[in-house]
Amino acid sequence: MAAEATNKTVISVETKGRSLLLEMLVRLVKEKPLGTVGGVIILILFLTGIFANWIAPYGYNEMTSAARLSPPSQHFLLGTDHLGRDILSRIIYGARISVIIGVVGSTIAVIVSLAIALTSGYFGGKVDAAIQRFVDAWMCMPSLFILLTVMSILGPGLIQILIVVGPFFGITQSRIIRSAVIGVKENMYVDAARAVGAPASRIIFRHIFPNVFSTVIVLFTVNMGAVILTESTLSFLGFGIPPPTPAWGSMISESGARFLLLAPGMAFWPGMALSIVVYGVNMLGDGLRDVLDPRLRGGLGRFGGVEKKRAKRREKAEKAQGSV
Amino acid sequence: MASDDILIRVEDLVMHFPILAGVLRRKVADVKAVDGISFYVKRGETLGLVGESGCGKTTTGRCVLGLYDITGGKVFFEGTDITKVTGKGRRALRRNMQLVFQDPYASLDPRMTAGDIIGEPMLVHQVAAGNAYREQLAELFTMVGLEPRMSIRYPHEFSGGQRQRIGIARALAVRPKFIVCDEPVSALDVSIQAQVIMLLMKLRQELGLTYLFVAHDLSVVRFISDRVAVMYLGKMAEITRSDELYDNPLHPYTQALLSAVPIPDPVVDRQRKRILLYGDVPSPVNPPSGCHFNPRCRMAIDICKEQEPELRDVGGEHWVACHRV
Amino acid sequence: MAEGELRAVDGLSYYLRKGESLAIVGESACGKSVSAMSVMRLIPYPPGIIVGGEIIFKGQNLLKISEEEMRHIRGGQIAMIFQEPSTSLNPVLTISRQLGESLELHRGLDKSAATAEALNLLKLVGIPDAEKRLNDYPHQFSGGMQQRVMIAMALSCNPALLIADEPTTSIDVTVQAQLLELIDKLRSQFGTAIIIITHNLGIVARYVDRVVVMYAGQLMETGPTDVIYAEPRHPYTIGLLASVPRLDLPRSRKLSVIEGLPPNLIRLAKDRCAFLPRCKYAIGRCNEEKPVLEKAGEEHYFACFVDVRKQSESEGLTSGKR
Repeated sequence: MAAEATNKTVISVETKGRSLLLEMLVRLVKEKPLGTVGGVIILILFLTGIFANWIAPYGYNEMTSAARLSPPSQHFLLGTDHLGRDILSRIIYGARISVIIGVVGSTIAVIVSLAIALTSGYFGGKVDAAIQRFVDAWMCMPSLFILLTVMSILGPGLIQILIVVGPFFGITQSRIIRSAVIGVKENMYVDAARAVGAPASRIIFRHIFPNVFSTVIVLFTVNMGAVILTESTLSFLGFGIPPPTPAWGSMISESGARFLLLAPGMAFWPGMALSIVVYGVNMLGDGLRDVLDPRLRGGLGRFGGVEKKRAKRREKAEKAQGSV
Repeated sequence: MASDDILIRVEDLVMHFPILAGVLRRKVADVKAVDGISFYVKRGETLGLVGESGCGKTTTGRCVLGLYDITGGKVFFEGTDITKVTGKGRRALRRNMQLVFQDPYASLDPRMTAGDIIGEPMLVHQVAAGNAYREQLAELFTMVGLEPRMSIRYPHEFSGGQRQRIGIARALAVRPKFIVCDEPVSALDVSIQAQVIMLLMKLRQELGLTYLFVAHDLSVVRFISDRVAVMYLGKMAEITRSDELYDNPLHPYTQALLSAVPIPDPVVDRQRKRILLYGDVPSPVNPPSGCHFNPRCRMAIDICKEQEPELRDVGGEHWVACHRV
Repeated sequence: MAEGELRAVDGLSYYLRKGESLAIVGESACGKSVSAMSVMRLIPYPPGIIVGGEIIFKGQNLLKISEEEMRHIRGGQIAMIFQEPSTSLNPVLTISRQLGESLELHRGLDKSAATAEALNLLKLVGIPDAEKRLNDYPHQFSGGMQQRVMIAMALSCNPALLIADEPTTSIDVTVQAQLLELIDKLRSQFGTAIIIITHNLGIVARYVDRVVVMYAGQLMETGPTDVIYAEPRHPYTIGLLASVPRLDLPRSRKLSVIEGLPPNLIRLAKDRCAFLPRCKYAIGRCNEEKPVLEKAGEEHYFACFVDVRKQSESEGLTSGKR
């Protein structure tokens, strides 16, 4: 019995780590149709960004002077801008910038948030008070003022945007994760880990972090949209990505707004792309949050969707057999 | 009695929690959760600790494990004062003393599998790794009456009783000598309570464990413990052998507590004397002067209001703190 | 109903006389609270639905009357107290207002008369310094005192029936004894019939005339308290009684354990005894049909095919005294 039991555990311990990601993906597709749609949108965005060179019909700075501000046509599916550049191609190349800014910026933001929130929330007391007063002070300052000041020191550019926007959102939004950390810290299982003799690092990374992860995911997606929008604000004020590199934000705000009446497509299409991506990111975030929570995962959980189906199937099978 | 028979000795344990208020977080008062208690637990025995909410029984359990920085007193484990031990020595001590929690729902991390939860102490204390780890894990599962293949399940997939078994297996993982059971069955259904109680008793016998069993249910405590300590408002009221608890309670509080527990047999229960206490348990922030029980005590006399009674040995491992005994 | 139905209570029948006290005993999720909520018609719909049966109160079927009529019965004729007094009281109203409002509503008193009556009620349920405490808010009361207020509210309209759903579970034993004594005193004083829903077999033994034992939403056994405790006939009742430690018996008495897990109501076989999976006395017939209630004595009924008396006596689970 003992040997047999051991074998079983060996198997189970090994299967667990490997299939977790795959299993999560399968469940996302099965149970969260909207999340899957979001996932597909993000996937398309990534692919577009990576393969922009091949997909785009024209170069991003390729000007056709004869066809300025032209409406959608066979040659230019979404029309052209004031310099005669194909809007579709610019959106496709812009996806690259948006992906980089969205993902990297939001990642930096979340890492900064986590560092602040985990230290502040877990240790509490004086550490917490000191850190939180700093965050308070930071939040009191007008955001645009901080952003513009730093940007004017660093100068415009992609890296500069990331350096500025990431930590900026990180500090402001650390509050959200901090309150989640404090909530989780109050749980008995954290006490249990302490009673077992686990060191602080283990408690933070093994017990608290996984339990605030859903908050982190949601925050990441919200940030992603916000970071992309902030880039467009900075671009509008002339601190963004320098032209001619296309970024959706600057396409909308810089030239798009100027020619809004003449060629509405110039602002509309990048705006549309931006909205779809932010929507997709949010849907994916919601879906992931649910999938990542083991309590909402099938099993014997009272409200698990899978379990209900399983129970139904079992009932049917039992009926068919004539019950035991 | 030889001193090496004693596994845990607590001397004048005091645990006050400050109440902080205002912007500067200044201390305005103390919650006197435990206010100077002494007792010992012999190797291989179970000491029950009973009392009503706010009597300090849970705090006492945590202090004994060294989970709080105690305000005063000493806690000896195998002759070492654990409050003086720091660093590596403390970790080694932790390994020998584990805790089983009351709430089997809140005390298991919902994002860890049963296997990871039970295995955590082994990893923390680096007891086993690789194959040895897996073997020991499977053994722990069978020991508490669960199947090893359940190790990949998450806590919410278990029933309350099974969860408490996981909690017990976690406490056993590093082969401790001493376990504090903090209300381990009070959140469970009656029929499941019996299962867990019997499991705890079986494990104690097989593994030679020593328990400090903290609970409010007098019948359960008396059943599982060799000796029972009754606490009231941060003080020890009475310590006696369990066999004597029902037949010969000396402290008026113990008597009232016993009589408040109805016996599940109408014929027997009808013949019992009922002592009804008046009022509620006072706040541990401002305990009454003298004997903490005096405002509710039917036998109180003047001295009870003025002087605090000492815990006296009345013979036969029976201690009581009352002026009237 | 697409996902299948969960029968929280399945074919439960019991009765209660004027001024009598009845206990509904069972473990969590056995349907004891749901059955009481049905009497009050407080089952949230959807998803809850009373599929069939009758609830006759003073000769009137409560399931047939209008919601308006039911409102008058609720709080007027039938009152209820719950497990968590702190969540049952409105935190922003003073005690005198909480009591006064129901008095104004149900008994048509004016404000000053209602306040005077509220004071009387608080004195009746034994709240010290009642005059001073009238204008206190619920959070200024301890759990036991809050439950006293709840009892006062329940009694404010002189109900014929009081349903107490785990009234003392969250309260300390010494205070619990006070509250139960109070409820018992009020019963003899006003002739209020009482249904106590509990899992505590000691409370049942001390305070209750008759017992209904439930398991998985179904009635297992019912009878006068003394009879149930002395000669339980259903394996579940026997198991339950033998699984609680008793203060008065020697510690050497072993606890008998009911093996297995509590039932999952969704997966319960509908045409078998609900206790079958955990029953150690089961015979072949148990796998074929579901037992119906059988008479064992005066007002004593049980649902089991097996005569377990001899077996359980020899195992020392029941005393066997007549």
